[in-house]
Amino acid sequence: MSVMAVLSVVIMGIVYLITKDTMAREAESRYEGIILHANEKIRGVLSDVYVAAINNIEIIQRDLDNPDMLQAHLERMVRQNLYMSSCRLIFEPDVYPQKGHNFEIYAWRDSAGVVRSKQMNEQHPDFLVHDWYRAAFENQEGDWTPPYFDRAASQQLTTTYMTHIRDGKGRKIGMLGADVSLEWLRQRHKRVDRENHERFEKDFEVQSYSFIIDHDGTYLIHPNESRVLKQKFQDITAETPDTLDDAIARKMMKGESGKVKLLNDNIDSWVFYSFVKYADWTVVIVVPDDIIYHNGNVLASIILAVFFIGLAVVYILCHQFIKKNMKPLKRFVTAANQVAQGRFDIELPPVRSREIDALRSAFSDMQTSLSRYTEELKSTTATKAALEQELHIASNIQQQMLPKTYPPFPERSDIDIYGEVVTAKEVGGDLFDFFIRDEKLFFSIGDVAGKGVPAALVMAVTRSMFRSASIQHTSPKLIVESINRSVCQSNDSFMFVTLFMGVLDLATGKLLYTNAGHEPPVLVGTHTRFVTIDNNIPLGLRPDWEYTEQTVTILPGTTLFLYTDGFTEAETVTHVEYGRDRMFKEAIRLAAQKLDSRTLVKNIRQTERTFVGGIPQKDDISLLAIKYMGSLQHSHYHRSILLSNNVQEVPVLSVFIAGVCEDMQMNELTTARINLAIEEAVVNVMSYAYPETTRGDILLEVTSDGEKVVFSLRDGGKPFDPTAVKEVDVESYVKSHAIGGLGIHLIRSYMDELSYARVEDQNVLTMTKKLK
Amino acid sequence: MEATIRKDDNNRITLILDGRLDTSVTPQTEKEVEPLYSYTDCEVVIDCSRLEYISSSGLRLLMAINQRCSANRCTLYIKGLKEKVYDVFETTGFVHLFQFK
Repeated sequence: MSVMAVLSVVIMGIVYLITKDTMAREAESRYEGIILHANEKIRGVLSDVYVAAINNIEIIQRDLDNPDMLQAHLERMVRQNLYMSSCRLIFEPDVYPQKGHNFEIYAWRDSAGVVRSKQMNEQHPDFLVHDWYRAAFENQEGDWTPPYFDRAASQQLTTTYMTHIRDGKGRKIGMLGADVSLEWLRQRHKRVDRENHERFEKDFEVQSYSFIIDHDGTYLIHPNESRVLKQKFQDITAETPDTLDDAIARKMMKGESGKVKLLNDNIDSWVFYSFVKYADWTVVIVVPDDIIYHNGNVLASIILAVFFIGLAVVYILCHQFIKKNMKPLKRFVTAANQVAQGRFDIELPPVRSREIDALRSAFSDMQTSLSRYTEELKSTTATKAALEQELHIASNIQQQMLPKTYPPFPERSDIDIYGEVVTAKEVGGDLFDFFIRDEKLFFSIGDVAGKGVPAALVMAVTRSMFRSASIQHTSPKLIVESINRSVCQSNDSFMFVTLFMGVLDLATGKLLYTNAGHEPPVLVGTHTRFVTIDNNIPLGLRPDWEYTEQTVTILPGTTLFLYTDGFTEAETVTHVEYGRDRMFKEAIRLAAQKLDSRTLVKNIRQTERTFVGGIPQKDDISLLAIKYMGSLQHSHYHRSILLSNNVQEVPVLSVFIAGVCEDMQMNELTTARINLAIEEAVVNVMSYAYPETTRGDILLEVTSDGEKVVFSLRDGGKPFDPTAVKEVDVESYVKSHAIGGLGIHLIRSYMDELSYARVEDQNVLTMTKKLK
Repeated sequence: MEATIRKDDNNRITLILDGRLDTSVTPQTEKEVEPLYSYTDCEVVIDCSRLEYISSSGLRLLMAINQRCSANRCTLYIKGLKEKVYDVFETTGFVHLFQFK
């Protein structure tokens, strides 16, 4: 739009300038035409008179002998030439003695237009002595006299062509003068000026005027009559400070023609001047600038006005047209806004135009589609919401299946359990459960292959079977086989379950367990290690599979840490697995802190979270920690160490004993004694309890109630009662140089009490040291 | 545990025991002291000033050394026993079996 406007203005500017200039040229040529026409007219008139004079010279010279004939010739000349106001013959003195000293003939047209003539003899003698006459006479050629005011005859401004009269011998005897009155020229100029004023310059304050000057600048014709013959053009121009007009005046004197723009009477004016040949006059017209440019200005303004009015009309029409056509579209916009607000059933406005009708039907189709999609979306969303609600309920039920109150056995000090499940989907396939029956802790942890509702259902079956089977049986093998049969029965989708199931005797710390393809748990304590597991297949694959049962003694203070593979298989963004090794290292590190089961689970879980770096978990993660505190009652202090039957573990034992003695604030000597006594007892078991090359565990528990320290040494080796060894007599022993029995002697010497018991196929040697 | 044998002069050999002589190191120490048995008719001093601990197996090793040295007609002395180690000698009656310097 703005581009169009600028373009229009530029075009109009050019049109304006061209129009104005063209009109100015036209005005100039009009005024040029006027002076050229005047020039031509002057030349024509003067030429006619000149030719008439020349032609009559021959006739006059032929009749010179008959002076009375000459009068008729002159009359005829005047009669034949309208512009010739009068003419005369002037003879030199005494050419016709019969006529007197001077002789002159004069013919003229009177005011009624009748040509008359007369002879003047003595009455008009002054011609001969006038300078202009003498100058003309002396000339070789005929010529025009400068204009003069003819007071004698016509009383008008006159110019005369003077040519010589010669006798038969070629002598100059007089002159023929043909007068031309310039009255017609004056009248003509007046008329031309008036016509100009009336036709072209009516409304102008300052109007054009024309004048004629002589070859020496004398005004011949001028609107101001007082100047005629009295003033000279160059004198007038010299009065102004401007020098341009002086230069123009000189050009006119030289006989040049042209036009020039200058300041005339303080008005910008164009001056057109034209030199008239033969007469040596210059015709001048002075036209104010305004007049030259007026028509151009007017015309250009009219064109501009018409253009802008046209433009305005076109704009208004377009505006009206567009407005009229946009009205339905506006109604459409309103309708579309309402559709956008969800009112799909709104009625569309009626339209008349074809294009908008196409839009209307497209719009209508869109409304229909939108309504349909919205309905579909609503029902889909509702279905999804219902499904999510069901999943949420299922998840709640599943969560309720899991033990969720911690600590679960607040009244017991021998067991500390904490577990948590974090499901990847709304419902998961992980499970764990535990309960105590007959001072035995029954527990299990499992992972159903797959996720979501089907996995959760299998998990529910497994969990309920674990409960019911554990009521009937005490052996993990039987319980697991019972669960396996049930899972196999209801397993149409070939889902399987990995499960670790154990029964912990809370009195002794003895754990019976069966592992069905599950991850090996970790014993976190003094000697952190994986629980050894047999390769049994997961549940749900073979109903008749015979599962094996294993056993391990859990030392007081040790935590059994169980987990599902979602934990160890957690990955970083670059697919680096957290892994069982890393978990094991973290378990060893945390073991030193002797944490309660809740803190252990939280801390080890945090190491995994930190490792994977906030990646959302892909699989369910279940963690279960069972910390066994031992069965000993009223014991404030409890430490234990599990050793194997290898003397290389003696330094480990020494460190352990040193720690205990430090806890008991024993002095150096007592520490050395206790150390020696315990070493002797342990080495004894190492050396004799188990057959050589057979690995066996030796468990040393240290408890204290503040009064005494009790060292309890257990082993599963062959029955042996060191207290039954006969007390050696040191004196005889030394003398005999026998070296057996030295160890037991040291134990007896350094301990306050010593007792032995065979409990559940184990040797239990109890050594007591009083603290006070 | 370190066992170092030093020949002071033709008549005197010193065995320096440094550290803990418990059951786990006794078999190794037994091997390390074997060069001692090549000396005859001399004085053998067991320097125990840096012995931190001794178990019954260690005592047995000392008994064995004593017997072998006697067979080589060497006289065995023990010197520099710390209190806690001397306590064991006392308890076991080994104070009667050795000469102390």
